[in-house]
Amino acid sequence: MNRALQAAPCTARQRFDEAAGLLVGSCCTNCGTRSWPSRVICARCGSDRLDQSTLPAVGTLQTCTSVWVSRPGLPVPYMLGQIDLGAGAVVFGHLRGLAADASLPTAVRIRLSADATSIPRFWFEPETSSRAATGRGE
Amino acid sequence: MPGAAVAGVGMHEFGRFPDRSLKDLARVAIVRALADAGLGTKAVEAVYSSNALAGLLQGQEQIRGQTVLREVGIDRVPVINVENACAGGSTAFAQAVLAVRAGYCRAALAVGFEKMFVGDTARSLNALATAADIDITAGLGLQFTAIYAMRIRRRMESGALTRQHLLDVTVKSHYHGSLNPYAQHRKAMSAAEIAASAPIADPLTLYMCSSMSDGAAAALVVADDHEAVARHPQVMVRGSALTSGYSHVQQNDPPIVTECAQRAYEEAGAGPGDLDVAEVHDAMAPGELLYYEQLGLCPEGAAGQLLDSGATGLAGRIPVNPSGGLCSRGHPVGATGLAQVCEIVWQLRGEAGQRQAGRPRLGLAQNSGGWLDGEPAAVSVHILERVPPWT
Repeated sequence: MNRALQAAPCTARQRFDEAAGLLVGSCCTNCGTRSWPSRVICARCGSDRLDQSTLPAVGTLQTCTSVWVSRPGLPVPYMLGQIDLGAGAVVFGHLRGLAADASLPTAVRIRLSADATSIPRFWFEPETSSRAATGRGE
Repeated sequence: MPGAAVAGVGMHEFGRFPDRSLKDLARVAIVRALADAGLGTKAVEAVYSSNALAGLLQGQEQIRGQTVLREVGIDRVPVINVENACAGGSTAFAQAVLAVRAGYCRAALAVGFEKMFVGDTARSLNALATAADIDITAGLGLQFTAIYAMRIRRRMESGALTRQHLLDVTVKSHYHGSLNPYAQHRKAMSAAEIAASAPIADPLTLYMCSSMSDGAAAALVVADDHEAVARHPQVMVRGSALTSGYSHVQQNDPPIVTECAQRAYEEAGAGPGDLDVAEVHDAMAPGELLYYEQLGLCPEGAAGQLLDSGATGLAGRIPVNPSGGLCSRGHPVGATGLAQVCEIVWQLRGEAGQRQAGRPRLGLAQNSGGWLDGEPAAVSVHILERVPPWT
């Protein structure tokens, strides 16, 4: 597990690929499990052979909710979802442009703000291309 | 290995108590639990103390247990401060059980206390938001209510639950709460009132959700040959399981609550079909429906049918949340897990008054805390048994 000792500090690890507009996480070279943000030891198989890699642009929105209790900087209602990006990577994120009664699961595509200080930094929008409807393998 | 028995339980009522400090809340729960066991403070050999938010809300970040225990003259003994978000109370209880079973001591007190009303709801919400990995969730507005709403919405999308089920289980929660003198919300409510209450996080409305709460609860765990066990019908801890959530969700992974329950069932030599009463972690009343399936009280997809059958009502086969649960009894987070233990002990002894759920022998308490990527960060399941037959 020596690799884990030599890993870059969390604060120095990339979380976003600005040019590609994608999340950057880790992918276990032993079992293929993905994580976001990146980890140094795979929680599934225990391997320390993890690569930094981008996550798919399109994922499967498993569930969502419209929130009516305001939090700082978030006018209500705002919409949150849980998105499966495949191979074990499941993230929470804001949703934009999705009908409140949209039927689930459905494919969504990540959008990344160009402004590194914006909150949220990323969100998801409905994926219109039927080709990517499975949300996997892109 | 000595067995662990619960010799005494006690609560401070849950609700809004502007004139009570953490010391006052904890004092009442501790003294009631010790009096219930027929013991004084000097019988306590170790304390496991649970609190989640006093660091942020009262500024007492460290030695929280010692600060409330000195009020009732408990000192010198080991005090272990426990924090596991909303599952802190049951985590403290699990440690007390371990200590007694291991022979470390013969009488261990588990106490949980919380004061969430601080005159500034935003501050309390901010404190609650730290029950996640804030390095990742900061600024997202991922409130507890939203997490539950998403879990429930998923079951609705699959066709397993309807909006009516959500309303019906909330009516049950408030009815049970109306019978519980310790409960924060003691008013029965109609489905129409619940449906018309303010939207919180679709499909959840205000009266489906637990609110801010002040309160405390305590349990004294003793070795099964301790003199204090003879005072009441003996209640033994048959299963005590504690798990933490996982990060990587694969298609067929069982929910962590299921995994935790399986460990507790195995230790108790029992299955869900043997249970007579259960307290589950319904921070939002409809969450109860998720746990029917995750705890094996019904097959997957049959939670609505189980509710509709009346089996989980007070007169049913497996009454669930006779106390009113988190939604109606209240949810002062660090105290909740111990309030569940108090309720199960009262039910097993036949001391639950108007909300007594028949003559139960085996009871389960399930408590969850915080969250990671879609799963609770901490889960415990305890199984308690009444030893003497009902006469």
